[in-house]
Amino acid sequence: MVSVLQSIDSGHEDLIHGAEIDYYGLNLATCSSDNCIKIFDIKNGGQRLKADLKGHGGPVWQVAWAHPKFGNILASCSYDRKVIIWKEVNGEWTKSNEYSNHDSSVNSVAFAPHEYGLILACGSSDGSISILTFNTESGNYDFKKIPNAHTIGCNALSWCPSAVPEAAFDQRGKQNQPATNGIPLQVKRFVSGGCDNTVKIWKEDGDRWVEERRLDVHSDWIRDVAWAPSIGLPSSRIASCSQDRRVIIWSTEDMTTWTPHILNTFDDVVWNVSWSLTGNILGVSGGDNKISLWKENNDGIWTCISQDTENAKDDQRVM
Amino acid sequence: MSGNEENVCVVADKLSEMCGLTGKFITNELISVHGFQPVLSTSRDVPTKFANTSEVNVFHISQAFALDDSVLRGLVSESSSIFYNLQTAKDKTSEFYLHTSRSYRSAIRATLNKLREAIDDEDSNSDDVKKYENFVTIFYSIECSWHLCEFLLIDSSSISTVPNLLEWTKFHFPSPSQNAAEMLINLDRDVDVRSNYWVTVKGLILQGQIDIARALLKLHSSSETMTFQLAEKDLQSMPIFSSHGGLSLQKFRSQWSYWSTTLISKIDSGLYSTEPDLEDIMKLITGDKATWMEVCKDSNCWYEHFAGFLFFTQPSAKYFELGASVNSWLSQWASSKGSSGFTNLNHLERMVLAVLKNDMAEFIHSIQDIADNKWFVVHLTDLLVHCDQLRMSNEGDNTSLVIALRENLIYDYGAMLMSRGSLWEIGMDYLEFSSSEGLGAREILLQRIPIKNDLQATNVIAVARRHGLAAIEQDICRVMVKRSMSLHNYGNALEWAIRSRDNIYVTKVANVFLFHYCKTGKMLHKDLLAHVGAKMFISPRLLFLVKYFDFHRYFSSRALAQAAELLVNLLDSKIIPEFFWPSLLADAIPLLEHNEPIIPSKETYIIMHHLESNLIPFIEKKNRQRENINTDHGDDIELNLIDGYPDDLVQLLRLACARNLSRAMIIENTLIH
Repeated sequence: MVSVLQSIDSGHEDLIHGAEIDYYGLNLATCSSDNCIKIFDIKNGGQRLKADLKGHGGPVWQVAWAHPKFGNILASCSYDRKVIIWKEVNGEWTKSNEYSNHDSSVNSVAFAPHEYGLILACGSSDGSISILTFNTESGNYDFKKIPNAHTIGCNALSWCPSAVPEAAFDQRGKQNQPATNGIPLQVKRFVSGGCDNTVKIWKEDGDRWVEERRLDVHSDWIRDVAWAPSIGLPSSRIASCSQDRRVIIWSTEDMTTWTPHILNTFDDVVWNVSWSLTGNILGVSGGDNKISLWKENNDGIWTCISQDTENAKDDQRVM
Repeated sequence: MSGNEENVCVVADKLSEMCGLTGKFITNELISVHGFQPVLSTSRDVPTKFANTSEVNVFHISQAFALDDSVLRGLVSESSSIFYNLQTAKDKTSEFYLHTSRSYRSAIRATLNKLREAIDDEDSNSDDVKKYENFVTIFYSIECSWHLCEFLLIDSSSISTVPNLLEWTKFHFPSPSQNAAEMLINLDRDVDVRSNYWVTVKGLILQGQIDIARALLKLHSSSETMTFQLAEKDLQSMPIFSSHGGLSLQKFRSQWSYWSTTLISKIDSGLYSTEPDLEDIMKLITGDKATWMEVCKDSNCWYEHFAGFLFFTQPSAKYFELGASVNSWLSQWASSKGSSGFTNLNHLERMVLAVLKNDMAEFIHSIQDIADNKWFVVHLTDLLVHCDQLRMSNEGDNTSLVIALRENLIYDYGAMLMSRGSLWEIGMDYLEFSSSEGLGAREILLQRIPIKNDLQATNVIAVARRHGLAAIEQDICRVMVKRSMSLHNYGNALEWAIRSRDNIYVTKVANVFLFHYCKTGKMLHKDLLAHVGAKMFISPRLLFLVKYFDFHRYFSSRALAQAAELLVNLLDSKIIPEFFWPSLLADAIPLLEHNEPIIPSKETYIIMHHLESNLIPFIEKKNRQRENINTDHGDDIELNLIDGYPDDLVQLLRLACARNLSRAMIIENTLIH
């Protein structure tokens, strides 16, 4: 039986667009159309407001937590074209950096896998994507920009996990990677989706970011993309969802050939896709106000594991 | 207890009702849900129409989790060690599997006892009682069907199916034996006036307990009559089938058919008609359908009398032959109950049915619906796969299927435990024995175990080490460094940084120690610094910190010669942080100005060299930065440092060097002569 474990009153005055839990699940950050970001301590099932961050001049679309080994760091992006990085110092949350190099609303922020260092990708309605890298010597963020990544705008970003195995013969681009514990890290990659109906995979090549693959199957704007966590399998997966009402799961063995598999065509636009921590369950939510869970069985067939909700009352939100 | 509850969670939220909702995974077991409206390129920077209309909530949704209940935790941990033994045992004999199965069952029975105690302890109306009563139903069903699987599938030495089934029935329907025992102990001559006398005797017959039934019949007040005597004779002469030794099956059958034909003719000729109860018993023994249907009317469930029926009709039946018998018995039973068969069976009855029909696919499917967070299906499937007794279909080889099934179940169970509070360590053990995905998942999930304090961090690290996940250890240390720093617990931060072996983190913490010294003239955490030992080589900054601390110890214990030697070595070492030049050179002044000259001329030149080539450029740089303070933040701490040193530090140093040099040269030159 599924039930509500905890309900948190965010206290925002308007809709929230993002609610992110930090790495250990001890803090919750919410961002809202009321231009504010709130941080709650939700340890042990409680709810205590730790900070109410005001710094954006427009609705805040998304927040993202950095890995705690960098300290308590939160990034936010807003309609006001800014990306702000907030930091907790001596128990006080303050603005530590502000990035305002986009010409339009910034829709998505995502921190890279922590093994690569403190790196943030930002996707904007101006069609470009910025990659901010924290420079430990200067204490500031260096940035690189991919102009015109998606015409009309980039809606979503998701990083490739650091431990995705790569084909052994492909040694390109590996030479400049830092190593942890003697294991060379993979080339940095992320996936983005935008208003040009495409899903694109980007990879770092020397000091530039280049488009590695462009996946063209969706027939309308991409609303969300999610790279599945890696659990040491040779394959890698991305889920994408679109206003064409479809969710597609892209899979690859070698990072070169991506095979699309249409998970389902839903009754309504699909807004969000989200992988479970170990990448074996995909959560899908959309305009029909349902969240459905999908799992691949032993025969490689994806089935919905949350039951059909046809007979639930119309005025109730169900999963 | 099970099954078909809606797998749907209704979130009562006014806002989501109006605008819609979205959700995302937090952990494998937790989903966060909140009201949502998509942002489009046409979205404008204005409050939405939902602004200030109702509470804006975030909901955390999760599968109900029973296993962290205080009573069930014991079962979880005990079963995990049985599970672990099963995976790691070297000598896996059939006795070992039977022993393992019995250990699991005894763990379930212990849990049932604890649950019953817990129910007795609670106020009968409390919610806990209802919860525990529900658990009792669940775990009773589990034990009951596990027991069945044990002698039918796991115990390979068992060849006598029907006697085992009778034993199992006796165990789960104990009232005839209990009543009989009570009557026999009291040796009550008037036993037959008791209302339950015949019920008990028939109950014993229905469970094949002929000898005890005979003993009870002897207590009857009419036991000396002809009819009772006849019954005693007939029952005594009844042939009993035994799979070990005795009669061959063929011989038994001919004996039985002779004996029962005689009995039927006695019944038909009315020899038992004076005692209708005795007559019923004899009819049951001969397998008379109408009489069996009559007793089925009062039965609690379909399998209560099934074993007894087999005992009198097919005593030599083997497990794989039971399917047909079960079907015909079930339809007979259903028609006597006036029901249409399978539809009214409860979950346990359906589980027992699936096992007896040897329909393992159906059985495994139905036990997944039990609200025990899959405890039963995981452990039983694993055991059955180990002893190679799980057949999911009769066609072809299903080895890969059952192996995949086992791996998936263990994976899900392990991942669930790892995502649920304090049972995560147990979860690790399960994932270790699931699949290659399980090993990967272990690493991901272990990293996310919430660390709230040093003790928990140490605990997670110990587990990570045991499983060879060294990268996790390093990351946890880094997290602890950051946390300790933000709490100003620098000693702790240094310890964690050293454990992380990460030069950047160690340098950061060592800098705090050095800054603090520059500002206050005091060393932090001297005990700690005194015991860093060889680990100081992790980072040049730490090396410098420890060496500088040694210098202090020499100095304060008046070992001035060693202090001076170390100081000069440090000056030449190239590991001095730039900001520390003023402080380090200032330390030279008392040594230079000491009554007895300690620093020889050559070393004095070294000091003078660093004064000119390091300290002066540093001061100039800082002065420049101070002028530009409005344009550049710079490093506040470093800027403050220079304020602690008056401009005449350089003057003092130069003078001290000059004076010491003159004294040293006089002495040195004197010695030469």
